[in-house]
Amino acid sequence: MSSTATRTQSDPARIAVEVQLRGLSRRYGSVVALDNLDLTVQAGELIALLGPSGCGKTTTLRLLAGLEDADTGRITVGGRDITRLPASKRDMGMVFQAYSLFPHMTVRQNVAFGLRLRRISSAHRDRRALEMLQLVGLETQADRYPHQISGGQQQRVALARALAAVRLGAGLVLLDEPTAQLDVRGEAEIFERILAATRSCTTILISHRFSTVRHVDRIAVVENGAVAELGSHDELMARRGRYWTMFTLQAQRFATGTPEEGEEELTFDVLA
Amino acid sequence: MAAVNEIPALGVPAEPQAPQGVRGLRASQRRRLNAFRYVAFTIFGLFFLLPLFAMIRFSLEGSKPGTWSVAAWKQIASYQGPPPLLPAIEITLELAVITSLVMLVLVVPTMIWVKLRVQWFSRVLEFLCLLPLTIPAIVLVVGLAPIYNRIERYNVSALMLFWAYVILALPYAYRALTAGLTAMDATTLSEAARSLGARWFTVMFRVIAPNMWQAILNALMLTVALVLGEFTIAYPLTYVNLQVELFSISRNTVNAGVLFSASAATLLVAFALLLILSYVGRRLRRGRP
Repeated sequence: MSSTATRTQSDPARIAVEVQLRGLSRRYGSVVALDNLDLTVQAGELIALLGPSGCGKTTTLRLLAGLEDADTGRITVGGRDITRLPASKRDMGMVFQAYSLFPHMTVRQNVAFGLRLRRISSAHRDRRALEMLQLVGLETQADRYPHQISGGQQQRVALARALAAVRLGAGLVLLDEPTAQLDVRGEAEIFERILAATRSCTTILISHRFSTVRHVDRIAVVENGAVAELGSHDELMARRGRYWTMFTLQAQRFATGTPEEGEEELTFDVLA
Repeated sequence: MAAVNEIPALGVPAEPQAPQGVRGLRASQRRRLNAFRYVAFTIFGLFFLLPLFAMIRFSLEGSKPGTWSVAAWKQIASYQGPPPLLPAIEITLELAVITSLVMLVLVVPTMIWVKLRVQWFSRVLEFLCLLPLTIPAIVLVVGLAPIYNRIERYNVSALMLFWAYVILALPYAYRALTAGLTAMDATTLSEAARSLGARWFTVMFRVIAPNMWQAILNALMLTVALVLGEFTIAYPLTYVNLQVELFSISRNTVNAGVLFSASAATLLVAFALLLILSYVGRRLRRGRP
């Protein structure tokens, strides 16, 4: 995949950081969300977490972002142990599945929120926010409120907000199903933008869609709170494991005829 | 792949979502709904406005039948009691402001904090906040009397009533604020803010609280309305607020017109305050969802 190659070769990981998750465990009562999960993400790599619902993908991202604490295990980012560091000090960009834009702020204020917290001057902040909005093609919507723009546009604003953090030096971007609520065309557009805009940093992506994850550097198939398969799309296809099974099923489905518009792709949930 | 800055703009302005509700109805349904609204508003309007109209009319009656006079309204400022009227109005308005502020400072951060950080405590908080509803005011007075007797030794003013009023207003303010807090996904918003580097204080006051302005204003309105009309706590504790003063006038004055003009003035002030709060709320919400 050319875009992936471009991502890792043409732009050396200037601010990217290596991420190490070691023996991460997290329980919710009697439910085990993560069970001794180990994963290393190279600096500048784009890795996708793939798996059925409830397998621990989102929990992994939430632990990384500091939104929850791990029961056991260790998280290091760029060699620094951040396991017990508050979320506000972790210095990473995150895009949530539900967009999570602040309803009382305009699009511009949403993007500038992180910059404001870092006490960047108003003029500089506005300029930087507009720059980020230009990256996602929404500079004309800067003064609208989130409820005045479409779902796809809201998703791009969320991306711009996370990218603003990257521009301030964050080396890690977490994307929790950023295209889940978009149609296939919208997904392709936003994913191209994600790939382009996160070239300089390490990116961890959660997605249910094979059309999205096949383009990333590596794919970690998560099952029962641990990494079951890990490798590039080609490697996982050659291994003929669960990823191969699911991807083949998907390909056969599309080969038998053009899916109708709006028809959903198969996801890992079918196998679960 | 195209360079970052070369990505073409894809966004086209989204059409604002069509408002739901009346527009989605058929013409006949709309007519029936409108007719129902007019009837309901007329009945409730008469129910509330007739006594007010009668009160204002009586306050404007002159000394001779069939004549009109504003003498009773002029006496509001000059009525010397005992007890004098203007200080009672002043105290009541100050109590409304202090009670509202204390209420907001105590309840808003507590509710946001419980919602975001200690959700297991929310049931206990709800129980504590709604408890005053189940306690008759007279029981509250009996409980508070020894405390107020003690602090009276220090010659404190009627403003000390604000503690009792905060307790009285707690259930209404709590309900109004709960409605605002549950209308948004506070947890997700706080997570988004924290992931951008916001500390808890920023999350509470720059992200969550601004999204519940309407609920805060509703809580304010209920608190102000309650304080302006409060009698059952102040009277037994021998403090003079506006309602106690009006009661006193009704028993002592030979000119009942003062009573009606002062009562009407109180209601008009209360309406004006509530309208101002409502207007501020609308201004704050302009352009927002």
